[in-house]
Amino acid sequence: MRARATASLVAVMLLAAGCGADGEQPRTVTAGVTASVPRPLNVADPAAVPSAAPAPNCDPRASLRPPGALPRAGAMPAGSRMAQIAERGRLVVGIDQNAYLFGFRDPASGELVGFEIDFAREIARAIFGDPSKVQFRAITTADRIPVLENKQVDLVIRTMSMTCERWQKVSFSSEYIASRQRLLVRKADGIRDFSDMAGKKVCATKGSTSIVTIAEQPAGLIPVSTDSTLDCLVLLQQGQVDAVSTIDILLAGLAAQDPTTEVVGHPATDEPAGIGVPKEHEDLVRFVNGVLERMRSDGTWTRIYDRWLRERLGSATPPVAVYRD
Amino acid sequence: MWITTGVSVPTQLAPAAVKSGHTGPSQLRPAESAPVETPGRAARIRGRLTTPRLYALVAAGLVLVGLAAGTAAVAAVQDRSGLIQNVSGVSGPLSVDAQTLYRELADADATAATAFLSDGGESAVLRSRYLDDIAQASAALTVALQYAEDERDTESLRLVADRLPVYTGLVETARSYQRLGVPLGGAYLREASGLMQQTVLPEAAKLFESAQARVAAEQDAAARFPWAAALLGLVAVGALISAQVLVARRSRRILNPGLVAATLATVLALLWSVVALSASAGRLETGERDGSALVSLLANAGRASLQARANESLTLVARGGGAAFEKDFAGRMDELIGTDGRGGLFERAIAQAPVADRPLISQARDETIRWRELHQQVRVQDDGGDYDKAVELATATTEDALPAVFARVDGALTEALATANRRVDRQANSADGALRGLTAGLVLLTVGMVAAVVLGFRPRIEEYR
Repeated sequence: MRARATASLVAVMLLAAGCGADGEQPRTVTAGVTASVPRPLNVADPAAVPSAAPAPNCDPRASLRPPGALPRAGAMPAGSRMAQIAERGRLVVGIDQNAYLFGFRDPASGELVGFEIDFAREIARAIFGDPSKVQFRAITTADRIPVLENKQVDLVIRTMSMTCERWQKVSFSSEYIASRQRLLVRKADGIRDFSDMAGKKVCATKGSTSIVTIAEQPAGLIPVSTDSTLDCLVLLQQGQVDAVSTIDILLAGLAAQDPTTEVVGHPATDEPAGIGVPKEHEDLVRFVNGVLERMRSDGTWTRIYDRWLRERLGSATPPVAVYRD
Repeated sequence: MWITTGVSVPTQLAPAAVKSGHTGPSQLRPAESAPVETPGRAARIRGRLTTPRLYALVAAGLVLVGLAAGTAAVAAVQDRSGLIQNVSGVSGPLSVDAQTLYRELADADATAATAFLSDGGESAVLRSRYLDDIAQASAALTVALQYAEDERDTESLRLVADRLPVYTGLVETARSYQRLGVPLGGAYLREASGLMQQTVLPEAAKLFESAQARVAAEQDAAARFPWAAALLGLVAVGALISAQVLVARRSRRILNPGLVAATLATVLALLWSVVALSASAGRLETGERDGSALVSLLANAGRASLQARANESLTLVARGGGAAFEKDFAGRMDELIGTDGRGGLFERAIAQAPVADRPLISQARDETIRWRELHQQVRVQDDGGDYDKAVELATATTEDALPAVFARVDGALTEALATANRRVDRQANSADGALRGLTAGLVLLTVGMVAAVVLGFRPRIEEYR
């Protein structure tokens, strides 16, 4: 009897000691730890897809015909919008400061340079005879139409696609560069087209038509949105998305910043870029079209294109202007 | 407590016995050998207790009460002293450490963003400041990890330790692209700052709040009135007085010198304890009000000003897409000085601070108001399209330019914070000083009280031998 009691007591003590020993084991804190992945601010994954507004029927490329002869620089016709700008002493242009090759700051000089910056300077040269009389105003994608409607700028040169919907609110010059929506991918992934991307994440800017195009692809892509296409490139480099999709000319600017990426895919859309002008200033639209005509014919267009884009996009000829009257 | 009743019951019974016609206290002796038939508790006690036995019992009771009161008082003093030394030796320094982590992380973010604005190569001064910030934050993190006890603190520290290398990696990526001259650098910097401001800093803030709460809790606990010890002390005094009444009634001697000495020792111990502990508590309360509470306000003001600086720079780094950063800047400014310059953290800090600290904090506040004006000028230029002019204003090196004004805000806040931290430490030391000698004094007085009781009763008990 006593032996049994002692045995059970010893058993209980051993059990208690065992429990205690269990509790003393060091916690394995490292077991479940995985790397934390940072994200740019305001990423939406998956993105909200804006509903495509029913677009009015028109030819988005058709702008206003330029006058027979351009007024001489420094002698703008009295009462015209150009005369008011000349009076002010500078042309105010809304641009992008973050689009590599199109509008960006040369880190050595701090100066704004790029394809679109050169276009703004050519228009200033036509008004003042001096390409430096431009005041650049950095604006966001979403600001492009409001700053024109509020006349905070004279022109917007910011890869702005000419659409019938936008023609309701602002005017466009004739097309100054052609673009199509395509894909930017990591070279190593072997992605050739939209059809290779079933169930994969594709990044574009918030509220852009690019998001709609991504969502409409038959392969079933997951749209992810950010504040800027640069943030999309960050996500691509960090492996958080598998492609960036926007117009090919902007993709070329992204590809130029990372040689391990490339632009692929058949053109999903046709997006002519025009210079935005406030709706009321028809004379300025015609004047800008005149300047663009001259740039096409005297080789200025090709010179600027070759300087910034030929290496990335191959050689090209200026888009043919279309006029409605 | 039952000891008290044990002691006071006979003394209260004695007059009652006189009134009811029984023998007086001095006449009890002859009657004690006779059997007493009177029923009731009082009679039974009287029946069983001879005077020397009663005296012995009372003396033993007094010794017990005295020892209990003395021990409780010594324990209370030791406990307080331990808490106070912890404030100046452990929790105070840990709070400063948490402040360092909090501040250096915010400073790294602001410095990295500001360094991005300089064209043509980064500023060596800003670069080394950033590197120092990271080094100090890492050192503070190591110390904090070593001392973390709380589960939530450990989790916060783990998050900070986990994200900090990711953050520095993003900043270095941003620098590389910036050097190549491609806009992608700005995107990486924005991502880095987002990580810092939205994930890392809130965790560092939690750690700081928790360290502050620990200091305040120890200050409060050490300043609390020691009710148990004080009550036992009062009971001891009451018991001594009752015993004297008892002895006086039974022996017709008005004063028992031993009991008088014991009463004096107890009263002295009680008064000394109350005065020293009150003084100590007063100094701790000053340390809390003018020290730790002010430290919380100033450390948060420092963090808010650094975040405002980071957002101000990021607005320019974003080059046209910085509306969200500008909104955040405005929010931080409101947090600092209110919408009218007469509110926010600064106003609360000035109200909280002792008069001597106010000029420095007011100076930081006035410089912040000036900073907001200069910021408006930068915004007017940038929003008007003159980015170059905006950057020029934001990076000018003259004494009245924005960077110098910010540096003065930062400098004044850092100095005010150091003063408040020193005050926490100094008041804790001074609170401990008030208790100096008290433990030894209490031990000696307790021993003296016990000895006096024994010496006072021994001759009275021996009279009956």
